Amino acid sequence: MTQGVIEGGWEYVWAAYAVTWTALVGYTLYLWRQRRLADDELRATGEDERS
Amino acid sequence: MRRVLDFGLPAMAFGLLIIGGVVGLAIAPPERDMGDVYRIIYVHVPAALGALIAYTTTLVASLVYLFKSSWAADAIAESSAEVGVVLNGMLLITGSIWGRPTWGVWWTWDPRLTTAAIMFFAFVGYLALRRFVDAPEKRATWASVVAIIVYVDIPIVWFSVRWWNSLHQLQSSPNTIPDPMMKLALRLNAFALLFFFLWFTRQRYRIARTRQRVELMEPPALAPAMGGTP
Amino acid sequence: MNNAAENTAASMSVARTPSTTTERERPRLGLLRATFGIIAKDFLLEWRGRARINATIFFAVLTLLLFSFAVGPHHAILEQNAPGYLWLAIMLASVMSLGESQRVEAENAALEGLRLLALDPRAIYLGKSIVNMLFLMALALVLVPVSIALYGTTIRAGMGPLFSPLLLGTAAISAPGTLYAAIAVQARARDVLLPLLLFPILIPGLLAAVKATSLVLTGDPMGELVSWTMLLGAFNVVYWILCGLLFGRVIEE
Repeated sequence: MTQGVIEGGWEYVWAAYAVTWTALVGYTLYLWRQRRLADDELRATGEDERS
Repeated sequence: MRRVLDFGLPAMAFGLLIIGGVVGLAIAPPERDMGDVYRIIYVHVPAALGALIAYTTTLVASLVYLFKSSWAADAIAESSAEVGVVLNGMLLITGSIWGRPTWGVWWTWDPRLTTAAIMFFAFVGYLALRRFVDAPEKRATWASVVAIIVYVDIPIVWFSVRWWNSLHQLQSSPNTIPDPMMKLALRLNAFALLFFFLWFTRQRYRIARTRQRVELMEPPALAPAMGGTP
Repeated sequence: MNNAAENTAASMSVARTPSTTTERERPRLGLLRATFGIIAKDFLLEWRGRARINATIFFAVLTLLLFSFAVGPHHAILEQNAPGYLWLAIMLASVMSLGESQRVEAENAALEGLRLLALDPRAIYLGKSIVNMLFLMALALVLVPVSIALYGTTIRAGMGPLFSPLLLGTAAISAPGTLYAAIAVQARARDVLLPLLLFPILIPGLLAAVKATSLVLTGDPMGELVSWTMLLGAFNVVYWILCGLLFGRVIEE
């Protein structure tokens, strides 16, 4: 049970925010890469169709 | 319209996240019992809201697929499930980080955290199923079925864990947000993550649709047998 | 004189295959009769080999043994946690049992045969999940004396009250397990997929079954058993109905 005010603890706050930002930016980059790969795959099958 | 969304969604998402961060970290006052550590709530709770919205989207899309056999619905289900798992993971980690200074432990069987952990595994299973099934119709059908079964379980898990826990009278996460700046910070961050959900799902949806098209095309080996140029 | 038998025989020798007309084919056999048919078929198959139940029992007993080695010879702890070990052993063994039940159908396209009979898929589901439940129940009944031996549990309230959590718990495993096994047997990595899908959603059932079993074994001073039994009951009602409705989509072509 906590009584009164917890002193400081900013390192936990920074850690939580760092995790949040890392996850969001990381997933953004992951999606960007997956988008590239998928578009390349589509282009590859498309070209083979037309040849 | 497309351009507006392509630029607007991430702009709103990152913008609100930054402003929400400033308000939450610098402007909102310290909390009565928890001092400054409570500020983790500003990223923890919005992640929870986002995950719940994402999973609900998967459920609705799955139902649509079962009734209408719409490939678009299947793509939405897949996309929002993946985004939901990301948000769910964030919520678990930030919840754990919050627990350490407040309860003294890295993990606790708090009903909310426990339900979140179970949901995480359940939807990871959903994504795994999609990966292990090659036939598109079967994959979409089975995934939809699994999504429904998992989603129905969520309230059952919630109640049973709450019951299970009440016997031990564990401290639950505090709820009171009295200060208007605190409310603002929470709202800003919640909307930020909502925009992230919309943006991520939209991007992931495009990837899913592209992959569907690749899958449904004839393999290149058949092209010569079909008489060359169409 | 033998009109009922003739009718059944006639309806089971199908001349027509399911057509593509918009009018839905009414199932030839009633739901109950079809269900009993499936149950009888699965029991007969199992009786001929008895491989599944034997292997499952051995695996489960071995698991109980492993728990006692993992925990160590601390009698108080073992006795206290015995319901947990019991249900974990049942759950782990259920993966073998459920998988086997569906493999039987996958081999030789037996499921195709069932489908051609225009059997109501709900009957197939009911039949299979009841059989699965009964197998797990048999397993549980074997494991109880083993637990008593290994963990020193005593049954304060008698064997009768123990029946209820065992039945409800095995039913709770069987309801979603039968459906998931039908999916997993047709997918890749089926041995990993089934537990991965099944275990997370079984957690509330596991909680309730362990608590209920524990209360029966060690006494129930505050009358909590009713609540846990009702939770198990609710879980069963929801999942038997839901999975029964969805099973048709899972096995359709």
